[in-house]
Amino acid sequence: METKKTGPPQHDIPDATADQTPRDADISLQLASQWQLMWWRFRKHRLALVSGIVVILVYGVAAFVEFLAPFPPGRMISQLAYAPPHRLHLWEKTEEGLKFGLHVYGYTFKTNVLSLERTFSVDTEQKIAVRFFVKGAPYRLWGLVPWDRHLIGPVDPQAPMYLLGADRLGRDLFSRMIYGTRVSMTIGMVGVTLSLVLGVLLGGVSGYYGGTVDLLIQRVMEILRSMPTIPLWMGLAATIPTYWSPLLVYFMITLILSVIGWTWLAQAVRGKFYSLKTEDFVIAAKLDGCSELQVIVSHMVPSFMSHIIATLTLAIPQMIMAETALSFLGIGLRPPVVSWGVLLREAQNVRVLATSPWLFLPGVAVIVAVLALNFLGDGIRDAADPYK
Amino acid sequence: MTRRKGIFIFVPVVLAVCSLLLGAATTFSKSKYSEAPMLAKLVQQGKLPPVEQRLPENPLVVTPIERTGKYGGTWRSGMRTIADLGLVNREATHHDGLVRWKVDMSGWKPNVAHKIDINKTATEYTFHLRKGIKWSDGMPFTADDVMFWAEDLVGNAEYGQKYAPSDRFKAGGETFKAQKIDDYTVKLTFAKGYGLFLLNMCTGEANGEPIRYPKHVLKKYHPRYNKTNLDKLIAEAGVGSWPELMGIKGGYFNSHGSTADPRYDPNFPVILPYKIKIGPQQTTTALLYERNPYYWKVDTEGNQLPYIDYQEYTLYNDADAIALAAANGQIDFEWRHLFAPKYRPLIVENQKKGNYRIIPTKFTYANDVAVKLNLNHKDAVKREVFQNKKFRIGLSHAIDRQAIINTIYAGVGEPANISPLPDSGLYRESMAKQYTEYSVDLANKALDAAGYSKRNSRGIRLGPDGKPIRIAFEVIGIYVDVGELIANNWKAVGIDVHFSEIERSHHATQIFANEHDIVLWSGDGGTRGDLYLNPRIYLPTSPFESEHATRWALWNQNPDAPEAMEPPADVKRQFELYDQFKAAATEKEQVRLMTEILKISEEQFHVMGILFPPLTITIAKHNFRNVPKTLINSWAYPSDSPVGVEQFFFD
Amino acid sequence: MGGYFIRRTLYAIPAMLVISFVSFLLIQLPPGTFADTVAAEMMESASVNEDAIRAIEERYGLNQPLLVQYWKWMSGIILRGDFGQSFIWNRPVASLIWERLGYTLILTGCAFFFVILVSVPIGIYSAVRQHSVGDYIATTLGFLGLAVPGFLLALILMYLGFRYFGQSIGGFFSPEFARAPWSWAKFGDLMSHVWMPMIVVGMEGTTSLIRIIRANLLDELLKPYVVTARAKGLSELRLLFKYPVRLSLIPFVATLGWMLPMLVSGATIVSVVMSLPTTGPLLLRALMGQDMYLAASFIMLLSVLTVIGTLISDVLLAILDPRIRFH
Repeated sequence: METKKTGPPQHDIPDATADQTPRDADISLQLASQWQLMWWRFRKHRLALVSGIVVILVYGVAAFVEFLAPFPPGRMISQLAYAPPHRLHLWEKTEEGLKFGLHVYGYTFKTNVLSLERTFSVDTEQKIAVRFFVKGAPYRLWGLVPWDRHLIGPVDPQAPMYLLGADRLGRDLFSRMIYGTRVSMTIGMVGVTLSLVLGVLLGGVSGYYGGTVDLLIQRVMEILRSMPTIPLWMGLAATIPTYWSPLLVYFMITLILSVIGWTWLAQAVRGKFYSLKTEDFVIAAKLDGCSELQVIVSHMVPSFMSHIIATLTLAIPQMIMAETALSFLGIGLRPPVVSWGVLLREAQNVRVLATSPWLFLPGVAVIVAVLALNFLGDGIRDAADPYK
Repeated sequence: MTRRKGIFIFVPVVLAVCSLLLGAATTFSKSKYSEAPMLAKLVQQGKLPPVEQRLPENPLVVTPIERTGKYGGTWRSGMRTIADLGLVNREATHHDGLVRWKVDMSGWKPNVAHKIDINKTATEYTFHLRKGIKWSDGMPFTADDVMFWAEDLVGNAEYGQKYAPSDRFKAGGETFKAQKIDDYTVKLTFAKGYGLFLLNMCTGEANGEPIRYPKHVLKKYHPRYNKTNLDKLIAEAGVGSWPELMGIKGGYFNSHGSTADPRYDPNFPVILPYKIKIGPQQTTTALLYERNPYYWKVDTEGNQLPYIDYQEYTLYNDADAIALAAANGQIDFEWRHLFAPKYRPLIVENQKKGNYRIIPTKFTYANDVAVKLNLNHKDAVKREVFQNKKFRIGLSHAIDRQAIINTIYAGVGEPANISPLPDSGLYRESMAKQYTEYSVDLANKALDAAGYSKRNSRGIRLGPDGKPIRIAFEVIGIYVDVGELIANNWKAVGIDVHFSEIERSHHATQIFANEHDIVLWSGDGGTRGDLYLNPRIYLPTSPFESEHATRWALWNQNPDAPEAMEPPADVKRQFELYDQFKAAATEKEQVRLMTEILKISEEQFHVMGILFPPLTITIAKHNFRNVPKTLINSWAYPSDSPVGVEQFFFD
Repeated sequence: MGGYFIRRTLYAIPAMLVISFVSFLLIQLPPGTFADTVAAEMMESASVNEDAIRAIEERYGLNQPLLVQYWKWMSGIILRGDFGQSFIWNRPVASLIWERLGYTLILTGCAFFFVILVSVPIGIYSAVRQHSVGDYIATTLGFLGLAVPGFLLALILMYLGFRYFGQSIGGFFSPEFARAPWSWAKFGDLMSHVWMPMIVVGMEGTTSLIRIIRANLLDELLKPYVVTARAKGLSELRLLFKYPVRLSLIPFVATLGWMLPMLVSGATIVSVVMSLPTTGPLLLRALMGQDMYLAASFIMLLSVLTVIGTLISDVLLAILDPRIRFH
């Protein structure tokens, strides 16, 4: 999606070698592999570095969802629908003075019969002890490993603990957001992988062979890109039969998302191939006797691999946003699947805005993930650009 | 000398008295009726005849609910996309009929017909129409128009093949025979007694039918009256037969849901209080209805009704926007879309800001959520499982109704299964409370007793074919919350439930194809009026709305229909009883027969419920007057027409 | 130059034909037809009439094979300018499109100008004062625009507008002006309603544009000719605008092409949330209700608009940057 920056080469020597003697520094610079050079340059870009850490953390959350979430996503206490977030208290007053003891206080509530609104008030009589590595509802990590310890949770598994508040059915938003992380972050990856395959394949073919093949593929990409995405998605999503399992629907959605996504990557790849075709090293490889495939795979692709990675990293947040939009429209993922988009759809009404705004926190998660991935992708691209 | 002087006194006195009397006469005759200023202007310009000539001989006199109103204003409502024509219908098009509900829905009262004679066996109904009612284009409305509907449409076999007449016009499976007695009198005769006929004629579906087909406009599309160029007209319209042509030009039974209905065409005459001025053909943002200058009702002081000049229906995309608009004071009087519990806090809190008040409104339903498993399922195994009463008992015990009430209804509501409402006079406590106790234990015991105690490795119960019992639990948007909770409850007792949300049109397709496992819908038949007219969850009267047994309902209509399934003896007995019920001439008979039907229904336990319908609300701006202190909400009413839309006014 | 233009235009024509077919295909993909929508509506008002449903199917030829229906539709457009009949609205599609297209163009146009007006100065400022506080703020704000989902922002803004400004909900006009004839006052009312959706729709575009302008300007500013000009004594401001800005705007022109479909899409969702009288809500309703001709016509028109937009931007680019012509 970014146009290629034009301009003469710039010299930006990383100073990772600052603490070596000048001569040694020179040698290590020359011996450094392409990846090491990239890494040194990347490290300088502080925002990208921080973002990278955030992204790794988010994916870490996605990996250990069952352990990190205090409760399973469907667990509800019907009386506490729309309960505001609990404040986690760290210290408790005992006879010996202050002691470290995690706890939250329960709620009492009054219902206004006419406005059907519940007003919650903190009840200091109900002290709910909270602990780390607490024994809670059993689960299977990744569907395989049975366990029942949770990172944080109430000592009494039946007690409520809404760190980020409760939703309209009395379910814990914090747990659901964690569960949503896995779906939202991986939907991006699956779709992006598909886009990658399609993009590199078609873009490469288009750029390498040129001529009518190029023309044809160009036109197809143009058509796909000029169609407004919403109707395209809607039309495709509406074809998914409702009796399919959520997993299958999930897979189909990613497929649909990649239908548009691949065009951007293909465009970039095509451009690269086009320009690289005439590069010296390619001609050299050909003269050397390498087959077409070998030339492509062993020589051309690695030279812009970094660019591909950067574009991929930038494509993931687009997928996340797209999934959010689709779920909002009601044609993406649906309950009982939990994703940020589904959570936002459930929050999408004036009542929540007016009285329970914490239910919009999945939006914050989306923003953070998308921003982090964008900065990371920018950083990688900057680091990988051989012309900088 | 005195006589001569006497003449000088006598004559002027006589003249004076005569002129006084004449003056008084003209003044009185002038001030017998008044009209809206916007119409008076047109009369002055000569575009409209004076009000006395527009009104019938004895216009219906309406007693305003609060006081005599003022003319003027635009009544604004919010529609949720153009598909929401049901809103418009309640307020504008299903407004009048030969008869009309009393405001409290306790019975019928005369309307277009000022008197109705019924014979002792309830087989003959003679309607005396008001003399002098005119269509909105000024042409007279007479028995000819009613006969056109009764004889040339409903009574015409060819037309009936294309557009089958409603069951509400039938007794013993046959429609009435119509007879014109004179220009203002029509007699309808049934083969069998039909005591419920007039109440049926009050319902939203049926009331508009006899009075909506202007013969002077439509007769040229009917082969009885057009012997010359009917074929040409048929070809021009691009259709294949005259009933289709008539359907396009005049509409047909229940065509009000489509924008193609001619009543949305500003040029089509009506005798309703409002006629459309800007319709779906002219706009995509807001529909506008204008007062009908020939409306045939006046208030107690002789003011021609309606008071309000315009009705405006703004098209919004979703209910959220309508709720916000209402809170912002942009809506004058509405129930629809605003009653959902999720908007309640917003609506209640913004009364001051939006300058409106809240009117408590009562539903006439029996239950807010009727859970209808498909006892006539296409798949034989599912059919067997769903028809197993112990299975249903188990599922009913498995539902935590209080939790549903707590989450979705903010804790305000009473758990109940299907039964007429406590104040209906036909309430059966045993029926309402049976199997409502939430107990996973009881549920499991019942399911075991049903014969499905064996489970597979995942804990799912096995059905009669040894395979896991699976329910595809698909609901439309408004029932997603409830559905999810129920589905979870059933999963906990070993049923393999697949819960998902489904698009409305897809849902309808499935039901028509008899492929649905379950339907969640509101349960009709709570108050007596609603129950008498819509008992469709107590016994399968409708092949489309009795989703728990569509094929038994089909059998009742036509036992030889290829898709029909023969029902068991108790259902057949209910059909017999209902036929007797429809024919019953006295209230005592009606109550007795309906009680019999309810007894059987209680024993059958075909359909489950969740809670009695909660109290709902209608909003009205502070200056929107002549609204009762409480309202009724019902499609059979249909709200809010019988309240007297024509006497609402802006203060 | 002329040759390039002709070639590009010629390539666009088959593209548009394919788009029309794909649009039509899309509508037919979901199971069921408009008749099912009618059936559903009947069910909801508890008054189902199966004959009426069948009548609709016959009348609109809903059960004919796909290619036949497509051909009928296409030939109608080409020969008579007849886009078919909308089932939901019961009138010609063309009249509906006309009614809504105007407002869509207004919204998209305003969003477009908003994007340019905001991103160009910020992009330039960011590049010139690189790594300053202002730069970081601008960049972050820009990124926020990318990351915040449009519909979320739309709902929040609508609610805030209601809560704190008493702004009327739905439509582009307050009730007083809705049916009034055009006047400056009415125009002002329109603008007072457009600003909210305009910002939401334009947010995403501003981000990318800021980044592009910033990146390209940065490149330009380090080029030798700039250094030379500075050495020669040219004032900073004049220096900035004489070449670098203009050169860095070249890729900006290239981005116009892909911004158009994005704006139109964004406008769809925002319009649905805010109940605006643009093509978005109509299209959504048509898609969900299987209103075949309306939906297909809309998709096709919107796509054609963007193809034309891309064409224009390509041509502009070719004029501005000769290298591209000889690609």
